[in-house]
This record gives sequence, C-alpha cells and structure tokens, in this order.
Amino acid sequence: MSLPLARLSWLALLTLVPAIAADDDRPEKAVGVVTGVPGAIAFDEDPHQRIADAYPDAVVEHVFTATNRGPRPVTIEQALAVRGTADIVVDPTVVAPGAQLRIRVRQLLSTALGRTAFRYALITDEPGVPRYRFSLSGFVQSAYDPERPALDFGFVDRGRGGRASAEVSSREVDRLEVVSSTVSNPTVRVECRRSGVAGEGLILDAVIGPGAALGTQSGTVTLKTNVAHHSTLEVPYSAQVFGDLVPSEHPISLGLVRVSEHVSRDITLTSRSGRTFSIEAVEDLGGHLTTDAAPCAGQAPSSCWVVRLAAAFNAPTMVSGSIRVTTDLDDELVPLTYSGIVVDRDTVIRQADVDAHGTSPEAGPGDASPTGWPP
Amino acid sequence: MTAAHCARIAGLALALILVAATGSRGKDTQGVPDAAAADPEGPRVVLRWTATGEDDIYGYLVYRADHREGPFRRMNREIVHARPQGPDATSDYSFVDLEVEPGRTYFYYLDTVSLGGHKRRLSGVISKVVAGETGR
Repeated sequence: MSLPLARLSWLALLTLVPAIAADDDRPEKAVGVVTGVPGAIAFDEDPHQRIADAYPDAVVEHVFTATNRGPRPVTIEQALAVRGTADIVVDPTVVAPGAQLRIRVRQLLSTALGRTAFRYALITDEPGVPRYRFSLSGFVQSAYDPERPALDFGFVDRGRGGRASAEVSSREVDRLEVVSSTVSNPTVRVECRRSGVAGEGLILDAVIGPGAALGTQSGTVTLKTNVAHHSTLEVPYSAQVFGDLVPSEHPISLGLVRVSEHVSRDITLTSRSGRTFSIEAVEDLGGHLTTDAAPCAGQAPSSCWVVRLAAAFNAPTMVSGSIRVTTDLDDELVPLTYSGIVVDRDTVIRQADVDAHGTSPEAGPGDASPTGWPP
Repeated sequence: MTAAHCARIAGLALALILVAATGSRGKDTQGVPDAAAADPEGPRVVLRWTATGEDDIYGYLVYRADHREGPFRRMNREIVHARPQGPDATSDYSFVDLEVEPGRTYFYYLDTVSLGGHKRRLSGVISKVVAGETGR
C-alpha cells in the first residue's frame, strides 16, 4: 500500500469509528459491571460442549462456531481460559455482519481423575456487552489399577534406608511394560518385577538408600509404559526419614482449627536405641506455633521427650511449617513438619482431608510409639 | 442359556445376566461395537445388567478373560455411561461381545467408575460358553 493510500485509510477509519459509536445506543463497558445487553455473536451450537471420555494429560480439541447476527462488525478483543490455560485461536478476529467465527480450543487435560470442566470467555468490542461464556466438560479416566498407585515408605531409618512396594496393572494391555522410569530424588531407585496370574502386572519395588536427608522426603516416580493412550504414570512416594530419634507422629496434623480456638499437640520423641538425650531447642520455622519440651519421666536426660506444640489463630488460613528439634546427641537434628486448616468459628465442615496420610481431622495426638518401622 | 449374578455395593444394586447368542441380535445396543449391526448372524455374548442407586456412578467397565482367575482385559473401549433415573429407579444396560468364538468359554465381570474416576469391582466373575463347535 502506498503512503497516501495508507493515510487515506486511517482517515477513513478515524471518521468511521466515531460514527459507529454515535450510532450505537448500547452503554459503554465498565469494569465489574454485568449488564443484560445482548451481544451480536450467537453460538451456532450449544456453547457448553461435552468432550469424549479421555485419559490424563491428553490434549482435546474442539472448534466452536458462532455467527455475527448484528448489523455491525464485531472485533474479538480476547479469547481466554477463565481458569488454567488453553490454546484458543479465533478466526477471524473481526467478524463481519452475517459472517461466521471459528473458535478453536486445544485443552490439555490435567492428571485429575473424574469429571472435569473448562470455562472460557470471549471478549468483544461491543459496548456494554458482557463476556460470552463457553465451556468444555468431560471425564478423565485412568488406564491403571489402582488408578493412582503410591509408594509409602513410612518411617525410614536414615542409617538403613527403606523399601516400599506398590502393585500396578492395566487391564487395557495384555502385559504392562515399563519403557522408562525417572525419579525426582537420586537417593530413590525403583525396580519392577512381574505380578498377576500371567505376569500381566507389575510390582514396583522402591528403595530409599541410607543417608537420605532427615524429615519428609517426597517426590514422584514417573513411568513411561506401553499403555498407548495413557503412557505416563506418575507414582508419588513419601518417606519419613529419621535417625535414632523418632517422633510418635509425622507429619503432624493440627487438623481443623477454629479461629481463636486453642490447639495443642504432644509429640513424643523417642530414642530407638534407648540412649538418653536432652532437647536443647525447639524452633518453629513456620512461625505459627509456640513450642515446649519436657522429659517424659520428668527428669533430663531421658530417652523419651514430649514436644508440645500449641497455637491459636486469629484468621482463617492454611497453616503449614516445619519444626527443628536440636538435641545434645551428635548429628541428631530432628526435622518435623506440620499442617492444618484454620476456619471461621461458624464454618460448617462437611468433609475435609487435612493431610495426605489418611489422618482424619478429628484424630488426636499420635500414639507414644511409632508404627511402621522396618523390622 | 443364561447365567446370573447379583451384587450390592454401597447402595448400587446389580443384577447381571449373560446370554450367549448365535444368530440373534440384542435389543439394547448400548456399548455395542458397530460391527454388531454388520454381522447380525455372528456368535456373540450379551451381558445385561440392571442397576439401581447409581448416584455416584459415571459408568461401567466390562472385563473378560479366558480363565476364571484371569488375566482380564477391558472389553468396552468406551465407558458404558450410567443413566441414573433416581434413587429407587432401575436402569438397564447391556454390552455385546462380538469377539467370541463358538465352543469357547469366556469369563466376565463388571467394574463401576465413580464420578471421581475411581474403579470399583461390581460383580463376581461369571462365565459363558458360546454355543457351537470350536473352530480350533
């Protein structure tokens, strides 16, 4: 386009836009104002579509079509995912009266199983017209049994390491094969052996080696398998690594706490070898709790100490943090982690999972002796 | 020839019937592969089940094995979707297995898939001999 012609086009545009605005009696857009002003864009099909049943991490694609039923061109200013991310392409971006608009959505499904829904919005230059809303909904299934295998090492003796196993199979292939595996922690390794009546399944044997860092060690073992439509299986693992001193409960669940309610937990720290020790300091690195420690038998040193954690919260929040217990034993820093949910005084709780280890919110302080130690 | 199995799991009641049919078409074709219509005379095993209390059920999976103890393979590529009609109402379902050979015995069972995506065993193993002479 030559320069004079370009100038002419700009002039034409500048004179045209005020003319349209003056002719349009719809109110100007205002942030946060929801109006009932109808828009000119009409979806040709139900804007809330179902996608076929799918597997985790699949990419589903759907093309919505819509038509500009108004007398003026409509410019698509933005097409966006209301929550999360999606690849959304609109064509054309300026829809002439009577013309069709194509909205191509490519949506990556999450690893969450069950019903799923994705909402999108289309924002146009139409004065006063709210966002056009459209969505995809579907169902995500697992090709594996169990759907989400997990490796739970339980309490692990740092000096000896630990083992955990999980069985997994897929009834969508004759024989489940692991093509490759990666582990997010170099001290954890995984091997597979056959299971099932015809060797169709696998037992994952995981080993966490001696010398792992103290405290909660968690991560994911990612398996690539021969299940074509669900080839990535993420297997979470968790280990509570301790040395000679072991807590009665770990991770520590504060449970559901109401605002202003006083909550306390007594955690017993025991020397498995029977050595006597003294606690020199208890520090809450999360800054939520007051801490105290006393020998079980009332006299230090002792082979058993009670660490008391207490708190009262003044606002609803998710609480988590870690506690460092320093003792007079060589190399015996004991790291503990805690979590809880603080809710309003009048909040009605119908169901809640406070931690990932099956401790119910109502559960009280743990037993004095740890369970799950390897023989 | 039929075999039946009844079960009740967490409020979901099931009555499962297996029908081995040769040369007859099932009336309910939910979950039936397209080949059913193209080969109406072929051997088939029809699984029919009736369910109530399906509030938390998204659908059903059908598994088959050559031996009672397995290994079992999923037979329905698409989930047989539940059609809950209400707390006390019943819904009828069927699945037609066309990949069968005359004279052979097959073993089946059903899983439910919950709205949360979790599978749960619904039925016991039920067997069916397909009528006719074995081809091998």
